[in-house]
Amino acid sequence: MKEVDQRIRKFVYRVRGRLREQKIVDDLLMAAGIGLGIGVILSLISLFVSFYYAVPLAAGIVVFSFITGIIMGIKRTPAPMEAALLADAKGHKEKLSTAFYLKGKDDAFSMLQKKDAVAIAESFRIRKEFPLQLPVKRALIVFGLAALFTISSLLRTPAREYAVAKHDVKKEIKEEIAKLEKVEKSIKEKKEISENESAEIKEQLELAKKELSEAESKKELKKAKDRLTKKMEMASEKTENKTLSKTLSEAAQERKEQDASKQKELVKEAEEAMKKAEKGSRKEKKEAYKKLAELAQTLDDASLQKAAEAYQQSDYSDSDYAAVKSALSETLASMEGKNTDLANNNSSKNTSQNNNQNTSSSQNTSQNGTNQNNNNQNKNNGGNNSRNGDQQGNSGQNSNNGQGQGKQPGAQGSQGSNGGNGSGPGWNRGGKEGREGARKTNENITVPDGETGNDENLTGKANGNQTSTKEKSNQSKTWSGNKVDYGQVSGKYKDKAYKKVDGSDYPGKLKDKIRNYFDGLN
Amino acid sequence: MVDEKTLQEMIDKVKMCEEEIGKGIIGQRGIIRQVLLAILADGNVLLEGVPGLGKTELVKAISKVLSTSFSRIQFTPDLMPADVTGTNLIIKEEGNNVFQFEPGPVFANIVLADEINRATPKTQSALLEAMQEKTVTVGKNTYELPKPFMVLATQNPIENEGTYPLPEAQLDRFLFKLLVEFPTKEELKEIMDITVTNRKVTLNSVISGEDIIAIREVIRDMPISDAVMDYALSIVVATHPEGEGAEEITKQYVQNGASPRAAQAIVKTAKARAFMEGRYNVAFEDVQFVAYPALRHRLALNFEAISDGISADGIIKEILTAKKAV
Repeated sequence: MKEVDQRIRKFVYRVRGRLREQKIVDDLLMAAGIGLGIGVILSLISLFVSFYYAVPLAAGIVVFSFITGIIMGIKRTPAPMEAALLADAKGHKEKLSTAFYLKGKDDAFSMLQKKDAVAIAESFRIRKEFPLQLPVKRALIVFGLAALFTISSLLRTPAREYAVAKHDVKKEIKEEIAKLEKVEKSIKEKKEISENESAEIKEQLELAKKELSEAESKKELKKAKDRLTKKMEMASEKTENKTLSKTLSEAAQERKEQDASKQKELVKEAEEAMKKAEKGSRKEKKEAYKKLAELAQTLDDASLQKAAEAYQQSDYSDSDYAAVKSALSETLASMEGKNTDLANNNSSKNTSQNNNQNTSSSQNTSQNGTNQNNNNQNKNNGGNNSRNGDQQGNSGQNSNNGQGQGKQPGAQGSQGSNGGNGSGPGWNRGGKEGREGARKTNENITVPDGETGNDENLTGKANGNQTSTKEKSNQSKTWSGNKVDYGQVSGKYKDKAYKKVDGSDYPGKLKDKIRNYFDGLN
Repeated sequence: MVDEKTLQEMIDKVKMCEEEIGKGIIGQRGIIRQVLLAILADGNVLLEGVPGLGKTELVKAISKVLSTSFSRIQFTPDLMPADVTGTNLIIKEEGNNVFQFEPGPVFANIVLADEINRATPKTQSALLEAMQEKTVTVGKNTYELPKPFMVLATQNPIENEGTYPLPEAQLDRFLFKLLVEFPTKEELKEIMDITVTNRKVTLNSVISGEDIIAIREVIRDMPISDAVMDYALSIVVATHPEGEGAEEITKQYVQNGASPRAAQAIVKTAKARAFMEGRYNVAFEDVQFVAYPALRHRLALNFEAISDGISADGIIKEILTAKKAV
């Protein structure tokens, strides 16, 4: 009896296994269809709407749907009795299911019935009776959707590029904030740094974090990063606590080195791509353009950007290739100059000392000013407000190239010892020429040495327009955070200017002129 | 304990019986089969059809083939219950007048209640006890009817004048209600051959009353799986407008659904059918086959159904279509 029951049971489970396979196929196709459908919709949306995670999310949904399909198929496998009934439905008049139901019964009728069922089970060809059927229509839909999903995922559109760029910025912001937190932690751990000092720096770093997190493009982030590095340097100079000074200085130096190394890497990649592009395929040329564009964006190098775009627009012509190469060489030369500075720890502070041309006014401008290359002429429409005023260009000197807000900044003389394109935010690093930027308002500025003063915004005009409008905003953020009357700080400025002038080797007349200027402020 | 050989012998006997009846009744194979199912399932049958379709002949043929006692009661409006069940007569016994029960025509193995709807409800109900309990009570005495016992009643559906429709309680006691259809042209020709000529058809008795009782016992043991049982019960439940899984057509047209006797009838006759098919188990198709005759007289349709021309068979068909076996 047991043997008969076992045979019936084995047969029913074999049928069930076959039915499970079919269920898995059916459910897998159904779930995959739904998953791919959602994936395609997401992917198509991301072609027009900036959503970085659209494709990974869609891919996740597709994978999830596949897994769900398999699980569903297994879960929806018919119960053994149902499997027996389905086998009976092949013309066996419920003999198999009744035999399965009669398991353990040994009366005459049951035995006869089971015997009958065993005979059927033995001649039953499971694979033939239950062929694995692929729902052709559903399968075609799934394959179609899969193809559509793959294609739509690989397409590159402005929205998608923008999403990638934005994501990169966010990622970098996160890294930057992590670095700041590290610095913050290291300051906190040092016993030599008092709680007050630590709190003050923390406050400033928090501000810097906020500023970083507000950046929406690579350009903005770069500026924020540069400002942060500068602020660190300034804070390092300002503090009398040597440990704090050293910590900040090291952090600033490390940041610079990292930036330089990153840039170097980009340059190297761009150079390699250019080499490949010279006699390479269109794909390689396209790749070279991408690398150049990325480098130009990172370095905020307009001439390189222009050259790269021209190269692309001319469908990678040889003449434009040469122009790009030349622009790249210039960029390299500029970078090398900077790197030399960096290597010598020749930061803005030193530059300022060497050239004896930097005044506090130049430090304060950089953000909003319209930079002009009018030798020795002060074009500051703000008159006596040096903080937001225009920059001065000094012939033969490397003056403050206020790249900051980009109004044709600086247009500096190229004869300074610290030559190269001015890409810094105006912290005493000169450049050969400034670059245009968009019109800006209400940018953050930094009050040096923790001094405070009235806030004023100077709205510069782009494209070399020499007029600038200045407006009081009282909204600008300051490094120290306090706002004080100009009168309260002008004296200190004057003292500092006197000290600097006295210690310099400026010609006597020029020294007098500077002294007179500061005297006149009062 | 029944063995395969005995079972086969029984099946053969029933098949022979079917064949033999078929000799005397031309066509009507389905009706013959269903009457035999009712006999094997120990039930009564109501045959409905216009006059002249051979209903009475069928019953007479069955009684001959079964070699059992047979009696015919022609129901008329003046027929009294005692004319059916029998009555106590006063007879002289050892000088005293005593009552002696004189059995009526119901005391036979097969009772043909011809044109049952012509009798008054009082007389019709005289059969109730006999049909259900297989006993007859006269005065203070209850008499057992011979075994096997079954009532085969006929009725004419088109004559309404002077007829008394059977009450629901009595209808429910019929295991099957069979609709006798008009024969086909070929069948009619064959009927002519044996009825308007001198050609005689002799029917042989092939099965005894004892055989029938033994077969009934065996059929009761026929296994039925849970799935098939569930299916049968779900059909019966679906005939109730308030029942679980009632179909829209049921809700709209049925006033009262089938009684539990309907479920018993379906299961018993499905087993009998499986037996006659030579199987050892009941299949879905057995249930489907017996659902019509077992349910059609048990569904009380509402006025809307009558006005819309909806028949009980139409509703049963809808239910069977809706209730998928697998």
